[in-house]
Amino acid sequence: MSDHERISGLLPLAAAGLLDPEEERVLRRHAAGCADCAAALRAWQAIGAGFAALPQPAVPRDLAAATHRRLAAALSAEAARRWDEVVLACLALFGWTVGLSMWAVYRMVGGGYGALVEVEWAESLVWLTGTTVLAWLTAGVAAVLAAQRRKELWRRS
Amino acid sequence: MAWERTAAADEDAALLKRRHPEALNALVTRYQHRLYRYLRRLVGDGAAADDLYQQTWLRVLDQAGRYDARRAFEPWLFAIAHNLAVDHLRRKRPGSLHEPAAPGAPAPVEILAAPDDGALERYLAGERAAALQAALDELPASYREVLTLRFEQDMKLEEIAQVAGAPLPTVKSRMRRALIELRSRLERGMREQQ
Repeated sequence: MSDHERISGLLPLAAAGLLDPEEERVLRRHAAGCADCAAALRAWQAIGAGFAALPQPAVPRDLAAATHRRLAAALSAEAARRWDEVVLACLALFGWTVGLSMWAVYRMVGGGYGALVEVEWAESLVWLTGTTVLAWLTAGVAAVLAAQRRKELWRRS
Repeated sequence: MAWERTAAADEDAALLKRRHPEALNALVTRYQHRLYRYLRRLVGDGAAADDLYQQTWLRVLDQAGRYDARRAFEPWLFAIAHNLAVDHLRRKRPGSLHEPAAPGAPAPVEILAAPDDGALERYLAGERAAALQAALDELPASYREVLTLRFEQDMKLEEIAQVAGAPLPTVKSRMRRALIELRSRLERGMREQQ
């Protein structure tokens, strides 16, 4: 590849201002002594400079406002979702607490404080299963309600 | 001035991580011209650019937690817009993304050894905006993108690579080919007019 060809290859990137300092130096030195390359460089620079004269597309008047509205709706849906998650966790905790408390109350009513430590495994298993089902049912109902609310919010946004 | 603008944007972007509505709205307003212009150049269609602009900000909100506030906000924002625009173009006009020749192929020699640089320069001086707009519109989207990011958005090569999600040498080569292709179309327009 001749020096002239190598310089020609650099010209497009020179118009974009993307030559590294060494390439820039080589190009400038060559163009100073070569009328053809200097003319070619000017033509490429004219293309680059042309972008400043390009007509700019007008931004729709309500673009920012419409975007603000969509973002506000998204933020409020997100806050509602976070609230649903907290409610769901509280309900699940509530279900477990009620179930376990009922077990303790039942044992104390039936046999006094001592009954709390005299565990009958068969009876406990029934209670454990019962309270687990109760807790999960509570959480399940809460999840269905939360999902319906979220769907409603999504429809509105 | 540009530095101040970017620094302010980066400050708002840092607040974005905490999902600060005012910071988000400030960024939407600040970038409406530049981001919309970029999307419009890339997809061509105004309604699509409008929708993509809004989708970009919804995606920004969605991914705010992943934004690294130590890095510049602008390339991160434009990269999100780029991904959405590319998906849109793939769905609507799959061919519009393709570059005419394989990356790395030699540049068209006949253009590099252009016969009359002076004529092109005179042509551009007279009809610069219209001629350039027409030639630009004919280019594949990937070429339009690198050109608009460099010449209209004034981004550095590293930033363009970050937006386009491509390695630096690929972007440099794409830029070179885009300019050669643009010049070829400008010369064709000039010949047709003569």
